[in-house]
Amino acid sequence: MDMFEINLTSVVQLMNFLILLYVLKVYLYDKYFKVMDARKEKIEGEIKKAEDLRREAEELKKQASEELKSVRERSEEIIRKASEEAENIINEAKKRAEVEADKILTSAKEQIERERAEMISEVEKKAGEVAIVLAMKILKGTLDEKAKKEYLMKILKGSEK
Amino acid sequence: MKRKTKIGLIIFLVVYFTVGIINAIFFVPKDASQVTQGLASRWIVQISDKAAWYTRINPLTIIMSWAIIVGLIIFAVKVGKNFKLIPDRKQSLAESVFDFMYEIVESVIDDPRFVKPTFMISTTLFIYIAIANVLGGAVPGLNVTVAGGTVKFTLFSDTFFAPTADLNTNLTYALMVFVISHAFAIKAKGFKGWAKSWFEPNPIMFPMNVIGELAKPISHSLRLFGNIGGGAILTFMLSYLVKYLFLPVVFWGFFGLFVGLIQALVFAMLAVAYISAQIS
Amino acid sequence: METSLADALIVMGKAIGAGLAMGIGAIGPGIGEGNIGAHAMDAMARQPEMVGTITTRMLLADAVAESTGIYSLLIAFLILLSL
Repeated sequence: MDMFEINLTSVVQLMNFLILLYVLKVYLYDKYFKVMDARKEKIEGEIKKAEDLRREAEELKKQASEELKSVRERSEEIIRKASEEAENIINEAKKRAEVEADKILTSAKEQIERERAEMISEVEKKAGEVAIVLAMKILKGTLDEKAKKEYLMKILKGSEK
Repeated sequence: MKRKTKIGLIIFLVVYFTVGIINAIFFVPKDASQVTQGLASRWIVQISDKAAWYTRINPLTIIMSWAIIVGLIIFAVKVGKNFKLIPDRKQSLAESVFDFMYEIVESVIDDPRFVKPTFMISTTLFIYIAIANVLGGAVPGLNVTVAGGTVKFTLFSDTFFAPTADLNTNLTYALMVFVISHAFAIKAKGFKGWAKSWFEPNPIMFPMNVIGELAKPISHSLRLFGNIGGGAILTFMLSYLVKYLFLPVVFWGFFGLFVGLIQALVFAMLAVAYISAQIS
Repeated sequence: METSLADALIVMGKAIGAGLAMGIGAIGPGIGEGNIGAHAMDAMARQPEMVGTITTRMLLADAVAESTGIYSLLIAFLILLSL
């Protein structure tokens, strides 16, 4: 029956186990837990760092897109302004050209009028002279010089009216 | 493997086999009843004249377990002195065992307060029992048989003694797990909750609960003892039956490496399961 | 050597008891382990990617189911060798 005997060996084995447990705890388990925690922390820190970097990149991207947007807006404004200016310039030029053309036209008209008036007056004058000459030729001899002139002048004045 | 260790291993194996075969031919008794006479007996030394349980001791168990514990302590100190974030070879060996056990314990134990103590106890049990099972029988050497009150030393006729083939070791550890599980239960649920758990689901079940709880350490210890002790006896008998054509170590390859490792894992996992059943 | 009838009866009883203990005790674990193995094979055929996990679980379950057989082995040894 000594296969199943329980004796002092069990106490010794219990002591052995406790010693082994203590030594393994001090030399392996505690350090294992510490290393495990350190590893977890390291991994978490790296994940956090990556997250931060990602967020930063996102922010930068947003900033860049905003900047791009503002730049586009500004360029659009510039283009709009430029086109407006160009239109203004064109309009002004057109107006000025119109004004000048008007001016030229009026001056030309004036000149034409003046020339016509001149021509008319000249023609009148000439006609008067011719008429006088003709009348003098016709009235030669019938009237004296003075009466002739007075008469002619009367006629002329009447024709002028 | 280095050349020197290779040569040493070959010399050792040659010596072992020749001595074993010589032993089998010349010294092992031809009569089967003579062989099996001292098979189930243990070498027990009585310290004082008084014959009581506390004066008798099994020297082989203690020698083997001290050898294993000293080896483990040397390994632990060597690895633990520079435990690094990036492990080297020995440390990764230890860490792979720890990771394996920690995963099991973490998945079984719900209460995070008890994960680490349970892990320590079960891992220590696993390491100690696995090494005892594997190395205890695989170290060839002295075989001590007791026949009719006289101690007889035989060389190489059996595997060496595994500490787990002694019921003292197994029953001690099973009782320790039993006590620890109930201590954890008191710590987790309070004394009232623990006392109440004996009367569940109703007070009529109290004797059944007591028997069920007491059966746990018995079956826990006898399972390991039966596997390893029975394996040792079977190893001896089988190698006797084949007339030492295969030496006991060859059979221990099955009973120690395969059965022994599985039984060590079963012992540790049952310890975890008992603790988790008590604290939840 | 003269053997008395009582001694012969003791030896006979030991042999019969040990044989019966081992033989009957091996039935239960045999059936149990067969069931475990069959269902593990089923599971492996259904999920070939889980073979590693299933194998380790199967071995563990085998080791637990085996324990009754081991108890009977112990009893057989106890009867045969040391009683």
